[in-house]
Amino acid sequence: MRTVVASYFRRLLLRRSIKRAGLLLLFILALALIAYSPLYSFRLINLLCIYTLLLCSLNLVVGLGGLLTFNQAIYYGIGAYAYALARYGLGNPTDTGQVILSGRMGFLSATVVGIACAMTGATALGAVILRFRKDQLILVTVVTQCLFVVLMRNISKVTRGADGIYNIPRPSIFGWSVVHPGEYTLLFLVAVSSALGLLWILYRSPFGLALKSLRDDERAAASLGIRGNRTYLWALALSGGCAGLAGSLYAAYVTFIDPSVFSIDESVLLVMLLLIGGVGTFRGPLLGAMVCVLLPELCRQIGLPNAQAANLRQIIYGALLIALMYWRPQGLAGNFRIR
Amino acid sequence: MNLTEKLLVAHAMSSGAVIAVLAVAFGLVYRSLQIFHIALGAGFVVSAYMFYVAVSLFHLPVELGACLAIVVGCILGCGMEKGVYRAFYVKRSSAGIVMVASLGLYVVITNAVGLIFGNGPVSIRRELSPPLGLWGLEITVLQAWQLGLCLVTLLVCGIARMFSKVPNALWAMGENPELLEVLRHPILKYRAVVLGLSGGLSAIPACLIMYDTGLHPYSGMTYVFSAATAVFFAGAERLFGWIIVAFALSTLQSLVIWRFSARWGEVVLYVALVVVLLFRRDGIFASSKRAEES
Repeated sequence: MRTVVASYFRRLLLRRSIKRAGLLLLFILALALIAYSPLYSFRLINLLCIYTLLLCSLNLVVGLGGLLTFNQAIYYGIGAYAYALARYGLGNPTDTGQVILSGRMGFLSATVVGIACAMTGATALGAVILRFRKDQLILVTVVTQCLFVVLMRNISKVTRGADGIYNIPRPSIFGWSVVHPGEYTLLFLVAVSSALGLLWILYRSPFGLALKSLRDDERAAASLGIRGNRTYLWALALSGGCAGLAGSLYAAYVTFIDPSVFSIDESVLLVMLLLIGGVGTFRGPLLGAMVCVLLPELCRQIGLPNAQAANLRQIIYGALLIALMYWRPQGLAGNFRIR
Repeated sequence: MNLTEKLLVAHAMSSGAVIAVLAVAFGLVYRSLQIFHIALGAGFVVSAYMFYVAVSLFHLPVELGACLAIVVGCILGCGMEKGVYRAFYVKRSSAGIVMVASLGLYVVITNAVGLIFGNGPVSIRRELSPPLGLWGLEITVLQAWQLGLCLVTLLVCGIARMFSKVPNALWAMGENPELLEVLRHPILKYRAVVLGLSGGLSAIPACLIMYDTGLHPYSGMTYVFSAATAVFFAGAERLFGWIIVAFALSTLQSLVIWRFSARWGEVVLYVALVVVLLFRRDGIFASSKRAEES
């Protein structure tokens, strides 16, 4: 017995030390990259932050709740548009000289508006989509996603349609103007790590356990007094809030948004990355985000033109997805198989 | 009817027929194999591009190009079954996993097409289609071809469904595949037939749309979801329901385009689907089920 326990702990320590060594190696590589090419690495880290937040928020619904949805880009888009409009105001001052509603909010208040709008949107949408399950849920989420893009294109008085909103003011927090990519990295690291901390707590809280129980058996969970729709609605609202934060940060960073950024392709990409990284755990989305950010760079290093590199990247994602669904349906670092 | 109304009716009929054939292609796989076959969009695109290559690059006659595209669609459908879906079937994977694999397949194939032909739209150079006064409608020759070909295809599907044994067995596979296995039906062959048939069926609208307006490598998804909308709207059990709904939705879309704007055509389609599903979960043509059956 003692030998068994000792060998177990030895293996555990070995596994932990391998993990630590891996993380240390990654950290050293990141530092080396920053030292070698600071601007390039800051850009990568900023993208990594945005995608990590998006995938972790999606994981709350797909991984913990077990609901395969294809409309995360809606909440991302609502957050970005709400932020942009709160910072800039409605209408098109450059074209007509008229601003319907002058927002001119600060960065922090505009971000809060972005998060609140995304949460509200997710809750309202959740009230409809939570009435469906399985294939119908997939179809309805795809349909709502397409609907969102059509609305964003058509309500041009508010969203400026396909032209998009440009020149979104850069963040300024208590007199600190964020302009340099390194400053953005600092801002993103603070914002994203706070949100991830919240999600980490949520994953392990009774709320997270309730979601997992609903995922495993909705009827059994209901018999334990867990209210399915209410819990799912909260999950959607929180997931939407995090995606809204990601959208606000994206709008603040890129300073230009248009409906094509938040299309069905983006939602499909997010689901694919989550399924590749792993569903149901905290490290799965992190891995998915790393694949998302690093694979394009690898394709670029090969020397392919940008358009072909994008195709090749998608082919790799697709092939990886098929292979994983066959050999490891829970993803590289996940613990839940899609049903 | 004034000229606009005549044109809109003609458009609704021809596009409704195209979507109806696609709905049959999608619904056949969904009903018989319980697969949400997103990769149908990839088959659709490959067939369309095959037609484009045959007609535009090799200057073959349109009819020959279309036959070639249909054959390629059938082969690709069978290939999808043998290369991907069969492995998941043998492994008894869940419907969600197969759907995600289908999504992966769609992404791989459409991006491969994009890699070869470029990501922009392609179209076939042709003469302007002359108008044809058919049943008092202002319909072009091309629209008449679309309508005629699709109606013939649908008629053949309907007759085969009603009077032939194999389509009935394929249909029954959706109910209880294990029972068919016990009755010594070749399930694996049936699966390949269903997917091959679906690929071939989807090639017909693919050629027609490619010849009419042209396509880009990623347009397959939109058409598949239009077809899925018709199937879910009508109810997965009703072949004739899919066809009726495809025509009805197309007419509704044309009406909205006429009365309001082309920008809101899609919105009405999506809203109608959500509203119908909210109130009739199994579709408008679905027969009522007992609680233990659902």
